[in-house]
Amino acid sequence: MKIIVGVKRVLDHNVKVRVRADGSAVDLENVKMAINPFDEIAVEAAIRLREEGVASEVIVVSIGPDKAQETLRQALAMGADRAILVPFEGTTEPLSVAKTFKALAEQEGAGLVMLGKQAIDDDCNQTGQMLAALLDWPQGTFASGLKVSGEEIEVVREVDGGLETLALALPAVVTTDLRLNEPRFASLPAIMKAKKKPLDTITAESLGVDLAPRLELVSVAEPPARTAGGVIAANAAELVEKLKTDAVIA
Amino acid sequence: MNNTFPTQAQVVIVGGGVIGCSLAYHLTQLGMRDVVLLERKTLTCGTTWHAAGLVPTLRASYNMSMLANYSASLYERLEAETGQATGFVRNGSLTVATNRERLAEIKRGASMAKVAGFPCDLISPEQARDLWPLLNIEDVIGAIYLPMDGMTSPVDTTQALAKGARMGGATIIENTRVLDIKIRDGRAAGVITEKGDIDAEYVVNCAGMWAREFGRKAGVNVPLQAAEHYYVVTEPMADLQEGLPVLRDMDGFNYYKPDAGKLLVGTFEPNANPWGMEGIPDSFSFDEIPPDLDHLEPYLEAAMHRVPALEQTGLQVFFCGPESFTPDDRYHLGEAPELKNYFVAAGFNSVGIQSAGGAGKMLAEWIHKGHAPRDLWDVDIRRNMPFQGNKRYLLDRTTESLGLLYENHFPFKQPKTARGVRRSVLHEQLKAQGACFGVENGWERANWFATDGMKPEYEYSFGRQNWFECSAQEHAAVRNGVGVMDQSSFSKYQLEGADALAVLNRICANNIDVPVGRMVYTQWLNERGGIEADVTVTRLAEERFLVVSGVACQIRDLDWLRRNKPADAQVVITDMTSAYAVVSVMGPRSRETLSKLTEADLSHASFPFASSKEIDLHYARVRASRITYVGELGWELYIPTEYAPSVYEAILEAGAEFGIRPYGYHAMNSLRMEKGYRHWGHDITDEDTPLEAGLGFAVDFNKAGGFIGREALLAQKEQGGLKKRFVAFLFENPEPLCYHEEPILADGKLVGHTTAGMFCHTLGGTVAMGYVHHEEAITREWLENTCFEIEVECERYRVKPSLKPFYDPANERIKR
Repeated sequence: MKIIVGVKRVLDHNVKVRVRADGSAVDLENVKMAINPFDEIAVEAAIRLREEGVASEVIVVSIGPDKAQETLRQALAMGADRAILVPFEGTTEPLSVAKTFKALAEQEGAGLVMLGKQAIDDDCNQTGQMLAALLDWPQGTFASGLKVSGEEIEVVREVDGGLETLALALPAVVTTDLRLNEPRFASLPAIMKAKKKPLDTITAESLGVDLAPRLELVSVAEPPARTAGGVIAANAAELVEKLKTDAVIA
Repeated sequence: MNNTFPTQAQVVIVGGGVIGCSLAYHLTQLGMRDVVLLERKTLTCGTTWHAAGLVPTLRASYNMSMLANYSASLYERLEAETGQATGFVRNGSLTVATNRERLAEIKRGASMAKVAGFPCDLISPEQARDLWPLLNIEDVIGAIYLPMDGMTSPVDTTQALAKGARMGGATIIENTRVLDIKIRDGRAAGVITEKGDIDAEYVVNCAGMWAREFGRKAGVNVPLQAAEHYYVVTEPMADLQEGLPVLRDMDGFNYYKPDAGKLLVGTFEPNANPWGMEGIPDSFSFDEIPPDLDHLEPYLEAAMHRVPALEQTGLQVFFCGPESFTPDDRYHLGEAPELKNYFVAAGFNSVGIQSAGGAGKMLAEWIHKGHAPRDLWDVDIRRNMPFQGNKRYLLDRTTESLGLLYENHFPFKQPKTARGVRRSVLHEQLKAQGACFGVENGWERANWFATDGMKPEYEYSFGRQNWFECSAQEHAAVRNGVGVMDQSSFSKYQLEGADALAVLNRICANNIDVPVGRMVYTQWLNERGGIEADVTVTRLAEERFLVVSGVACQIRDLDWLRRNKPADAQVVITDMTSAYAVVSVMGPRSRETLSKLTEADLSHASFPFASSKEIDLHYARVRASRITYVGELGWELYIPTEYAPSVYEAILEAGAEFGIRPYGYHAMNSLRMEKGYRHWGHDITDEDTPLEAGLGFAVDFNKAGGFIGREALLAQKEQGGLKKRFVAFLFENPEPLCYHEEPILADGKLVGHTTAGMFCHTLGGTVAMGYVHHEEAITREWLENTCFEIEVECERYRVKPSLKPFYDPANERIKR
């Protein structure tokens, strides 16, 4: 079974986010970028399935600029077998990304598509669901546990009341949540080996997909700066009074 | 809590990194409590926060080692003092060598550690592996272990210093940008910030990688450039033992710091990337630079070789952050020569944490006392030339600066980048003669001349280098025939005016009120009697003097003159360095050589030693000064620059029949060492007096008006029985070469360290010089009855001491 895994190039989660002065977007100039952490979990899960002998090949796919090759190489260093870059400069949107993955899943004859539940840059949480619908495959979202047995995949999901376990018939779409696994760190030999693994470029055009955005971004603003805290009351009675007058409690 | 923004303070520190906080702490320790530290964003957010936090004690010189050692002891006690943990531990450090020259370097380091007084063991590869079990020693040939070295948490240490400063009364204000400097009456007078102005007596630029740009606002030159520094951090390694020392493999350009079960591997690569060429962003705060893995890969491969366990270890963090580098890999400290009461502490070349304690203490004392508390010439801001603030120069040099940290620090090593900045008008002629150039303060200077078939390129070693024989021949030519040397890089100043004599005579320890045409060798002293400069003064006219000093002191000496000129004195001080080329013609045949080119009478009777005249020479009119730094008959010719090439040609032609040879700075050094001539900055510094240095003959206690430092010097003289004296030593064994900072032992006991050393060809062995300290007065008898040894590469050699020069002590060669 082939597994396709999506990896999105996003701002490194350790980096402080800055908005461009004109409010048009987040400033990505000369900033450290990384694999979207949820996608990294998906890569790890796919590699483990291959190591278990369930999967035969892990193909990582990214839609993004030339630099997204670095992101794909990171996934290859973790242990993915090959990579596909669909070149695109600009903001990607869930629907067109889902269409791209549909085309690739069909082209590759994939048995499983794994995606992070959402990307930390736009927090959309839509692509996996849309992809399942487009492919007309079953979906298991927010996976915190996975097990493949025969033609079936068992997905454990974290829901409000506890854990929910689904059994999906393969082929299927799975989106991964934070507690599914702890992704491995690549060793230096693995990083060097990754440089020699195949990385193909396939245009969206050749897949019959138009990646042009359909949504208009009006403006991006930073959250208001936090004001310093301070002592607001000398004792409990005063505090209760203050909370009342400030209309925090009735 | 008082939230009003201060409007005045005694000291304003700009920059809240480890340096600024250390300075604030040490100022309050000295009782200067009215201190305001201003930080643009958050303490440590520029460079400090991502420093590796190594605190080694062994540095390139004795003074710098003492300062690093102080940092370690400070960080160790800071928690008890402030209640804020620093994370400091003395886990020791281990440095391995994989080739003979590196082993020589670390052995020399081990010998120097003895001078500084801390333990440093030379150990075998197997012992190194016992200390660091994951170490691959297949190509290791030796190692040194420094048990007192440590490491600390940079952020916690900075916070502890800040807390200590606050406890001492300092005010630390974050999130406040300083926009500009206030200047009043030629002095720094405060700062203008986005929250208001603060008037201050002193302003200190501790702005790290912003320091160059910030300095420019006040017209102060702070040459530094940010460059990328890389490290990686592994995932937890099960096999990594607890309490491992820091490991350095400089041949692999890497250091290894154990970090809570993980390993931090940092790199000082020889081809660094400068960063922030368009200026460092104002918003920079705890930011990282996107790392370039390809750049780092060869060094990570070296790391896997040294620590093979890394092959199976995941790399958790690839970090790249900017740090400040200076053209000579030394930081900038002290009062700016451009602006009074404006101090600088910046440009820490990736060794800011280990330097901050000592540098902060030194600068605090400097501000408090009004002068450097000890010899800090290595890092003195006054060593910089204006061109070194040039951005293009800095960018090119910085590619090399970072790697210099781990390259072998060979003697006579020359930088490879940003060369050819200052060239003598004789440069092309020297090049055609086979000159191999070295660089000093930007000047390209011929250090030696390649003989037939040789390339004029250095092959470095701690032993005899490839130019040894070339220099020997140059040396012999000066001793036996005649040699010619380009010394255009001398710093030269003219003082002219009705008060020129009075002003200069107050500065000089010797009496310069001499007849026109006479030259005087003299020191300039500070109030403590320490030597600030070592110069010759020529009286050109009743009210006009020429001062000649060493190449490195061009800014420093000019600054000293200006500071000590009374405001209302009628004297114009002009830097004449570029106006004159200097050609020295030295050796017993120099008189015959020059006589062929001039009708002037060069006989001893009419042109005695220490006299200076304008004479016709070839087609030109030049100033000929009968003086020497090599201990032979000879003249220094001061030639208006454009005439120098033709004069130089004529001298070579005239001297051909006497076997004239050009000689370089290495030959000059061996010539002056055997003659016992002192070199300012090494042999004599602001913490040595002329009496200790054996230069009492150049002091005139009785001249009218006295001189700066007279009272201190007189007190020392009256007390008598010097317990510190400058002594020259000749090695009995002709093999060992020494350079500086080697331990001097008297009857097996450490009594000092060398300030200079050079193989002296006439004597057939190395001469070293240095100060000897003794509990009782140092007399000739004691020297003669004591067994002296100097330690080179951990081996001790017998040396013969002398207070007098080994070569021609009676000056018979000069005065004839």
